[in-house]
Amino acid sequence: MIYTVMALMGAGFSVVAHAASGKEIYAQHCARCHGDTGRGDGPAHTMQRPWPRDFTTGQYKFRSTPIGTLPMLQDVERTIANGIPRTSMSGYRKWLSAEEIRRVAEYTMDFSKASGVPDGAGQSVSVPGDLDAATPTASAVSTASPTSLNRSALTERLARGKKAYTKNCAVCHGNDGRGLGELAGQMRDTNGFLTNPVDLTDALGYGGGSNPSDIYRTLTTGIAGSPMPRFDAVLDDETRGDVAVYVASLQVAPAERTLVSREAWNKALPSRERGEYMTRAMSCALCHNAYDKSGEYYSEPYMAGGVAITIPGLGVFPTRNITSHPEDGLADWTEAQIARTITTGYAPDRRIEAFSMPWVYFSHLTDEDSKDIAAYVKKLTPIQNKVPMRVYEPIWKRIWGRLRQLVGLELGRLEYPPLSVGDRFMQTKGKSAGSEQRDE
Amino acid sequence: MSKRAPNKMLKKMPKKPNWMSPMITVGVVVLLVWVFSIWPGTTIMPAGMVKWRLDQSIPMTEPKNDWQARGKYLVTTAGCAMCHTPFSWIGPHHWKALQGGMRVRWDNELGERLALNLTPDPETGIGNWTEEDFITAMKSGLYPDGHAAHWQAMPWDMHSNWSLDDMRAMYRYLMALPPAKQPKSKPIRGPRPRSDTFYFGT
Repeated sequence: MIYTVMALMGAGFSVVAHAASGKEIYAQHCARCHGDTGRGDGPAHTMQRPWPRDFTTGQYKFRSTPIGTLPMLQDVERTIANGIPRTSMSGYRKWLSAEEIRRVAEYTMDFSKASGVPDGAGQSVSVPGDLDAATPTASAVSTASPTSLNRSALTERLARGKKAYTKNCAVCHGNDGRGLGELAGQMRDTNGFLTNPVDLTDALGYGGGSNPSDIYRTLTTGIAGSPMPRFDAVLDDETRGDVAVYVASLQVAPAERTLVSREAWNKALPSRERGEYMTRAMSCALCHNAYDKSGEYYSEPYMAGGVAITIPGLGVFPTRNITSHPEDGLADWTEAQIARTITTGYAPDRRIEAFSMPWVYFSHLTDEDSKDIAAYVKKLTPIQNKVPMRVYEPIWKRIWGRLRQLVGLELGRLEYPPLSVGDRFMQTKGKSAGSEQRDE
Repeated sequence: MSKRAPNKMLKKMPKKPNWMSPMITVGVVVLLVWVFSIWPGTTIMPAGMVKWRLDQSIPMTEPKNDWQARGKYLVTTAGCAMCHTPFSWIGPHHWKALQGGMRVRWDNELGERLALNLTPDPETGIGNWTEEDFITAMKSGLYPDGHAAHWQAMPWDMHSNWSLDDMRAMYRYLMALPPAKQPKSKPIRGPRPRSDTFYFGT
């Protein structure tokens, strides 16, 4: 079973030469995140934010149909083809032909049939045709010929769009569109995960597409499962068009972009949320979260530790339960102590082995970042999971093993979490020799 | 038992400096330094020494602008060097920082993977990748050549949490590194463990 799953999901693939069926393409490209049954529970889904779509709920983020209905086939095709670059969903236009994308989109939508969500056909949003023609980028506006008839109309349109944007959108996306509005850092999606407003100055950030017509569609229908509401009742058709053109004009080419300043980031997000971003992206959960035999991380006991890192010739180092559980976790530690542990390797109770947790790399973190991470770690939901103490090999064994390496009798083996350690409550006794586990 | 004749030859030999004893001393010191250098555990070593040793795996390239500075910060603190710098029993090969080479091996069909060369070498590195290719590879594990990375070898599922601008910063910093050709890896022969390999047992 494991082999099958691994071979299916993980083995390298090359671009398919024959016309594969939707099911085959789905198994090859989609199932590792969205799961074999389309429930969004593939083996690689756990650590992604947001989670991959659960197709069986019939809830699709980017549609041309109203909220609460199924999308049109071309909506799903569009998302598959373009991808959502700020998530793990890559654009498959590069890998699949249009025909294959259509097949896999059909296959995907089959999962939603049992959900009871009504079909949205016939209620599709009609996008005004002139939107994409309205040269939306800021540079285009400034360089447009002054004699152009369109220019004044466009300027007016942008002004109207800006007014509506400031009133309706800026509270989340910020006045400059960088996603750092007042409500940033406070919003959660339907799975309960922190979700930050999209940086509208970045064309790659738009899940539903970055052209004015795409923005118009997203504005009209909203994004299901996220805090982005639909604006069709709030703004009339023309205003939505104006906002779409204005928002598109905010986009900056990658080469001309500037980084968000630390001050702006600090101002927009609370320390805990900044720490959540760093903790997730820096892959702390790679070791501090346990996984099952197929390599799928547990999503529920988050950061409760228990992965045994075996370094033959050195010992076994189970990762800590870093939730704030009073007995098993870090409830007694202050934030300063956590930050110090991460950056110097000096935990309140012992020194951290640099090969089990690479604190040397984290020692380059700025004070601000390490404090943010500590603030987030300190507020993790307490989870009871007693993790056994690390076990060092006796010193003479370590040196003896080293000497044996010298004469080529036994080469050192650094074993990172063995996949067989599915049980989080693994006992360290008798597990220090990697070969025993390999034979299982 | 007859009385032994005095050995006159020995007495007449000129005195030579004794090389053996200092060589043995140096040998023992070298051996001890080597034995204790990295493997017997870092907690018995001064923290500063551990830091100095592992910091060698981080490239020294100075960032030239804000993007590269941010990129260097992220590449350093996220510990990319842990897998992407060649590693053997002497520790990280600091003269080959981020040039790839850590082997990851599973004992099943997945077989052996080699950590990618992150320097902008067009053949063995990421020199031909565009910024978008890099973002796709980091976030989806799909490389421009159509190869799909396993999420446990290259944890793209976790890296998908990076913001796009942070990804760009990393890319711009990596592109500023001096390009280096990664030597072609030889497949591991047999089941014999090697010290430059991470093993995932099943």
